[in-house]
Amino acid sequence: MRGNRSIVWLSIVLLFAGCVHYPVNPKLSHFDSKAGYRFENLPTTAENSDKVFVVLAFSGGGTRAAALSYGVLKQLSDTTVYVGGKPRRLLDEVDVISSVSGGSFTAAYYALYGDRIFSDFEKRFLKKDIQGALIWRLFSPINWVRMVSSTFSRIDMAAEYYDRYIFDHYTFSDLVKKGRRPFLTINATDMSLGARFEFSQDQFDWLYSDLSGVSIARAVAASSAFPGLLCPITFRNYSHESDYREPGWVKPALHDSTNAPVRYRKALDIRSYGASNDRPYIHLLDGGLSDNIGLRGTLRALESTDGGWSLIRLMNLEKVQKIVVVTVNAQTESKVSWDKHKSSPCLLSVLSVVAVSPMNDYSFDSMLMLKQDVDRLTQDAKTRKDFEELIRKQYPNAKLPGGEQQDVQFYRINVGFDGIENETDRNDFENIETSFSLSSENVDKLCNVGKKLLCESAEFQRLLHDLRQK
Amino acid sequence: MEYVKVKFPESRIVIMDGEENGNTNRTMDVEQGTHIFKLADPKDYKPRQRKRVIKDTTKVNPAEVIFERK
Repeated sequence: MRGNRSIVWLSIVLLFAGCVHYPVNPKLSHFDSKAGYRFENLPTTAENSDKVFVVLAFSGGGTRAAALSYGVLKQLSDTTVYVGGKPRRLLDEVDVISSVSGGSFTAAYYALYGDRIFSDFEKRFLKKDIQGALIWRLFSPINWVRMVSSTFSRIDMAAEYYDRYIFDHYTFSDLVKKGRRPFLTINATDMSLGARFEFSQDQFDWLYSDLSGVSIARAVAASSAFPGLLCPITFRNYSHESDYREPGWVKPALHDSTNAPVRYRKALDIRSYGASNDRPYIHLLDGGLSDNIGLRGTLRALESTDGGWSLIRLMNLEKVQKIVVVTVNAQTESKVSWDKHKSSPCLLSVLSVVAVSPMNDYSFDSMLMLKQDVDRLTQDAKTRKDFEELIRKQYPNAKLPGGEQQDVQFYRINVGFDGIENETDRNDFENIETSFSLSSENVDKLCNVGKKLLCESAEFQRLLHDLRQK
Repeated sequence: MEYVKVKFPESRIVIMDGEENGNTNRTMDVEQGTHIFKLADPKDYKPRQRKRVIKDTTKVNPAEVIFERK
């Protein structure tokens, strides 16, 4: 009798577990390359023009990264500049926030709630023991049963928690309805391609899926699904219907791997989503694996006219005068001691290097590429100007092909712990762990140092100088 | 970075790879590689489109893509 009862209970549990499924991203009802959450659908306003185009890139690094980027937002809010002779907060001029992992919490919260972030984000996220709350949920018997299911895992449980307690069940459709900048690009990593996957309708077009039906929390969870600790988060990749149109650059790019290898690779990636019979599901991991400072999308926007938003395209259309890129990098230098010992490091040490070193190297490369891109654009403009001046000394009426060129100024601002001069202070910040549970004291310190580092940046001071001339 | 000037007798929006990307007779910054150029409406120009490999240009000496009035 008791045996029969156990079998009945086990059957009920398995039946329940079988019904548990992560939320499935919806299929598009029809294809419309102009609808949904795209940069072009967030127009300029009286408060935010394209003249001063501000991009913020928030790195990963758990609550440490979220707090540092929050401090930067606070400082931008406290900074008044003049655009077109009118005073405004520099924060209101922010056009794009690109984020990864821990930085995605701050980015998404600001994109959703605007200034409300300054009244309740500390209480709801930064100073809350998120990690403890997630671990506590693992002890719930209901969750044990749910996680028996092959279509529900720890990352789905984390996404549920973020959805309920941080992002109030908001979806990307709510960001579309708000219709105001900044344009939020949360970055994750496509596990099969090892490529950056951004949460925009431009990317979801390739899955023939409607991003409007995806919760913000799920995107943030995907962005912060660190391998090993959390499982990948899964999205449905639907077959393209006959109304689907791929971006116009893909076809020419596929025939030109020699001249434009990056473009070619990107085009292959896009076509791989189209093969939905081979890839009916897409598994996403922490954005840090493909770009831990959220800069790669911005680099692409500075190098190419492809994609949903392109700084080069805005320059060609003569919409921008100043381009400001603020990188908030909460990366720490790991202190190791194995070089002091003659015995070889243990497996755990080796695995930690394998997991973290490539990410740090990649971040360094991204920063270097940003510098090179900005230097190249500045240098090319200067060369043309110098040449024009030189030729006009001989021939005052001479004109170069292509008409008068609009002068675009670039400002590359870095906020990171390597900017802290005092070694003891710098070490204090470097030693703050990567976690979703930090002490209030550490959160306050991180916010304050974010503000301070931004203010002390020579590039930021140059920007303020240029924008404070009424 | 490469540079292109799309020539046409009047000022018109240039459509490159399906997106608005600048104006005729002005130098545009473009990524090296193959691009397809058209003009915005009205369709009073020829040819209908031009496909060009853009490389080895400078800001002083951009590649030229020429459209004529029909």
